[in-house]
Amino acid sequence: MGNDEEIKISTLGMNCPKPLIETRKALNKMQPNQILVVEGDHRVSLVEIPQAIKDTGHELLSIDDQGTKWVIKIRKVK
Amino acid sequence: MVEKKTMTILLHSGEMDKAFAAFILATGAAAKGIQTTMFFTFWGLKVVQKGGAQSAKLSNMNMGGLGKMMIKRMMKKKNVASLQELIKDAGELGVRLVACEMTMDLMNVPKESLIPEVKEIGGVGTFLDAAAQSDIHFVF
Repeated sequence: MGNDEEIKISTLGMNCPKPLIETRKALNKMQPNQILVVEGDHRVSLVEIPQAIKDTGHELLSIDDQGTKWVIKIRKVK
Repeated sequence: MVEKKTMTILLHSGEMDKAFAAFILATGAAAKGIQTTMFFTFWGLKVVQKGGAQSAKLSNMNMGGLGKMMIKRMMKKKNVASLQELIKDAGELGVRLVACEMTMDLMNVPKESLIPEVKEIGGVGTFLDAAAQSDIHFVF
């Protein structure tokens, strides 16, 4: 597995707590340094996913809030 | 470094809404890196028996199953995960599910009737060891 490889998941349409769970499930399956791109439209998760990333020690790369939709980029640290 | 927190949940009720709250907390905690142990005792044991989550009633407004049917329809419409889905997620995210040995004996529940997410059978001591060290504790 190469570094900087991007893995994309969509949580569009999902409700609490699924976007958080799916993000965590994806991170668990990844190698360190790989990048996870999470797309979604659940507003509370836009706040809760970055907080969970902080809690679990991964690196938040960017948050792109496009209004109805958002995209969060995370680098898996360990 | 991130501080590792732990949580324990005691589920002694067999109703769908209470089990739902317990599993939302457990999966949410797992997603946030909080190590969680759940203990299923008395009516709560039914939730982790094969088919138990599907047949669990509402604690209020069940109305002979009509209320539950309405809630299930609303959950589907609003894309809220089912109790069965959350139980599967809890297993996948490494939540520790412990079935109460005494309740199993009392109610003649064989090990084979438990869902595969339950990997442990224990007593009050097992759960208290986890609870004594936990930062957060819930009872449903």
